[in-house]
Amino acid sequence: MISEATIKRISGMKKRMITDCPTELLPERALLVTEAYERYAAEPPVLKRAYALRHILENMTLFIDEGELFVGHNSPKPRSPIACPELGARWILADLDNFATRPADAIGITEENKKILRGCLEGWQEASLDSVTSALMPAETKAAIEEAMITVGAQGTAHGNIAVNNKKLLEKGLRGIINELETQIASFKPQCAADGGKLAFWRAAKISCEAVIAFAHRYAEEALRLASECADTARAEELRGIAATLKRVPEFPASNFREALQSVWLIYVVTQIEADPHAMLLGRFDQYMYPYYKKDIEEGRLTDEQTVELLAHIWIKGTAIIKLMDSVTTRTFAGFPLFQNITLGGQGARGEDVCNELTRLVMDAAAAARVTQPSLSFRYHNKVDPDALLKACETIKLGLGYPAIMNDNCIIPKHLIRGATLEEARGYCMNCVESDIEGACDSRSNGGYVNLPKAFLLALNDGADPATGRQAGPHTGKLADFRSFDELMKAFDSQVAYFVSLIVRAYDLIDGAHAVHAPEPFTSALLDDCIETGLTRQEGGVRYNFSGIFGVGLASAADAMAAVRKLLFDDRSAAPEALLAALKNNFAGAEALKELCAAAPKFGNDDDYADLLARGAAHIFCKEVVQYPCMRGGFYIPELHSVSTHVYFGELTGATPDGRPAATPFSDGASPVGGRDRSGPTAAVRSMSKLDHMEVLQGVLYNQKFSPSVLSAPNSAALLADYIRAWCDFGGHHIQFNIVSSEDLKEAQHRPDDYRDLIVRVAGYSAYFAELNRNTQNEIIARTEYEEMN
Amino acid sequence: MAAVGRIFNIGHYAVHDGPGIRTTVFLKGCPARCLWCCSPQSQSFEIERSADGGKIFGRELTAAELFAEVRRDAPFWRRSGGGVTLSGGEAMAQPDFVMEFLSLCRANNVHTAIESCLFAPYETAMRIAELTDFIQFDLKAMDTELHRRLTAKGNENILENAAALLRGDKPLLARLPLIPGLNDSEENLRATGAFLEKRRAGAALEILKYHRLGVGLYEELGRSYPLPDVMPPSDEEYARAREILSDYNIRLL
Repeated sequence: MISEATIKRISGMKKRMITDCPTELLPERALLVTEAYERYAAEPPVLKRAYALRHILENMTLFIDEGELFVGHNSPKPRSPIACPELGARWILADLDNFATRPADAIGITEENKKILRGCLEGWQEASLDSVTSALMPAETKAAIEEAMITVGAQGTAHGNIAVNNKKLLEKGLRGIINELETQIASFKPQCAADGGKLAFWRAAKISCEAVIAFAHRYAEEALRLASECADTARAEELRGIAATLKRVPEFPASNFREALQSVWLIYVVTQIEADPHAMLLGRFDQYMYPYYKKDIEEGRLTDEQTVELLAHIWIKGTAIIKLMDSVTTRTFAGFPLFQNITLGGQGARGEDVCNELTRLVMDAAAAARVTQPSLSFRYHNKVDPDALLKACETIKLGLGYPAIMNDNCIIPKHLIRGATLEEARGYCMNCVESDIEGACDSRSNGGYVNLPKAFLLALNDGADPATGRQAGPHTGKLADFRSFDELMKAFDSQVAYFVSLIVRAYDLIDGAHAVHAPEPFTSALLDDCIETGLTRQEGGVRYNFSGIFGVGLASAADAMAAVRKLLFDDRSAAPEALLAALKNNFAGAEALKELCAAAPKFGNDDDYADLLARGAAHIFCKEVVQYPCMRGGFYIPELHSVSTHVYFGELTGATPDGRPAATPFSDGASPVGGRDRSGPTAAVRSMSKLDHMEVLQGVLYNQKFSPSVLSAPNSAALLADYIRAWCDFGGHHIQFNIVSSEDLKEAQHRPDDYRDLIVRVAGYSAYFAELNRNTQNEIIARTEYEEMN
Repeated sequence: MAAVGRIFNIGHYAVHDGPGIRTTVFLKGCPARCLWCCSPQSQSFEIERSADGGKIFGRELTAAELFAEVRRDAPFWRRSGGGVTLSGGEAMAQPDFVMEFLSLCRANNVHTAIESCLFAPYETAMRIAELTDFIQFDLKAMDTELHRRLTAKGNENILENAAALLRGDKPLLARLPLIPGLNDSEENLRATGAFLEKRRAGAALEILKYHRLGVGLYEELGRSYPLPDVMPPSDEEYARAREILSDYNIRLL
């Protein structure tokens, strides 16, 4: 169904824009934004940002690849991240010499450009968002970050975790949105000082929207210029078609599939240019695009093959966009993840299944492109179209790490708990394992991460790190004085409460700094209620607002709890002093004790002893998080997902009582510790299902790795579908599958050049295995290899 | 009086051992000694240790205990039309335990399958078959002397049991492990095809390619591998066997 010509075009683009394209940091955006901020120095931040966006869009170098059928890129060339001095001047400056040499996600930069960027960034040092957040950060929070107890997000970067309302964009065009803004301005009567800010936002949004229309026209002119120079008449015709499309969209409503695709993509690119966020979501793509597809098919303007070819561009173009991240973040978010996501299927407003032809074609396109981004999430529910689910399973079998399976039965009620209407809840779309509502929900899953295993270590040692002796948390009692295991868990509860409160305190301050210094007038204009309320999303203008806090290493913590309970409280086979000494010395000279620790029950084997401790620890974390209101309205919500922070925290944490040596990774997401779930995948699923997925409002990540041999039976996709049905019966939030053998991965470590194409699921996203650092690679290899005979 | 059985493993998410997602129970102990056996730890009825003493092969439990253990997979069976498969070792070599377990499954509406060499007294084989929903059995060699050389047992009662099952209406799958140079002669293949065709027209037969994945297990047990020089069948050898068997009115998988 996909022709040779299509495959050739896609693979040529992939080669030029991804595999053969070196990463390079260029100073263009940083220089343009600096010029604009100087020129508009007297304006409030929201207008400065609008003028800066306009200045960038008027002057940036435009990129059009020779194969592209629709256009738009965030920088002068593929895989070239942009720098946002207004957000992160300090850290970019501090990291400038590390970008090219760091072990993960290295980004090239010439000495000449380094000099230019340094000169530019030095002028921003007192004015950037990160200089503000750094000054606001409480000392206790800084200390806890130093101790690798927590991380706190968004100190010098933007974050998405939103899907703009693409349906509205396609139906009204930016012109329709500009009309809404003008109506607001014309009819508004300011009644207090803060109302002045509303007028500034509307003006800023209007300036931004006009600038994006002009940007589309610039791109159209560029396409016409290329057409006039193009000797290949067929390509020249394509370029003229691209130009004609850009003259219409995104300014006006889309009238066909190509216009809709161009409109959605250009808007996506501009939101990346505005603030370089990660997790700008493409939402329920198969829903809002479907009317345009259907009309074109019915009227004979489009074939399914053309659709797949157009859709495959999204993956090439999506993977060609890289976000600049600091060197610490590249350890916690390895593999250039941008957390773009497309949600497929699920329920409509009345609970009906909404899978359609486009659902299937999107999966075909992802399979044809075979690159990492965007990820796909397929929504499961009781009335799911069985053929669409089967197609999802066949796509999983290809080993791309997606689609991930999301369970409507678990996630829709969560949005009801979070305050949405039933219809809104049924319309949810995905981040990686976090759910949002298109246009209506700013879930900000970037508050911070809590190191749960280390919180347990502190509980064992009166708040001091057993390895270093440093007092990292509050005094919560000495291990030898606890008369019961429950008393120890109360100490753990107090430690978790303390560190959660530190994140909340710091993140509220950061949120406040974003509202003043880093508003996003353009993105806000595409979100529901921002225009009506006159507030940017940073000010809480979106209908539903949350801030997410992540619990990291749940299974590692539970295994540690199980070992302590068994050895110290149930069997009394070890003394508290001996355990603390062994932890301090990384089990050196305490091999017998280490063996006892390792032999204690482990989470993931359908053994209540460890599994219920995991549930208890998760509950302690969740109840602490949800009690806090967040600055933009709404409240904090918990998440059991670690991206690759479990590797980072693990590297910085001493030995734990489950027998884990110092400086090794923790468990991933909410999954069992790699290699310790030895009772088969069905037992691991039952253990996972003992966690209360419903109370983890933001999401629970469960990663299962299957070797291809498990999926070699002729009806294996159908069996995997049934396996997924059973998992969803158990009430799981999410499940995703890695389909590779550990032998493949080890080979890939030895011969990375032969395995550049190998994609693995790292956490909520897929990455090229060869681009991950050694520790992350080793951790993926260590994840349980499910064989049929286990 | 609860029968006690010996098993050496339980496989979860088994997808090659019958319909749907299955839980496969491997019973310990086998009367035969097939030269190509890939699970030498299944052969002895005794609980064994690996040569270095680090691993224990085998454990004892009652049929009710086994049922309680495997039943945890029931949600996966329900969703996929799967169930339990009894494999071995030789399941029919522990008849009391197996019948009690199968009865429990039937009482609880759990689909059952058995993988057996059918080396069992006729009465035993028929009673177990009666309690089982799907039977997979091996036809390793049609000549009893050849069978004895390859497996240490003659095949008279195996063929008697197989013939009786084929004449009945139970869903069956016959399996032929294809071992180059040992049982892949045209004569043996034709005898196999004719035997099946005569008793049940359209009988299903799966040709299993010999593999050497068990070599490491022999080492662990401190034993030498019986077929050091035999290699898995080539694609040509496999195709030739299929071609010969395609002359018969049977369904080749």
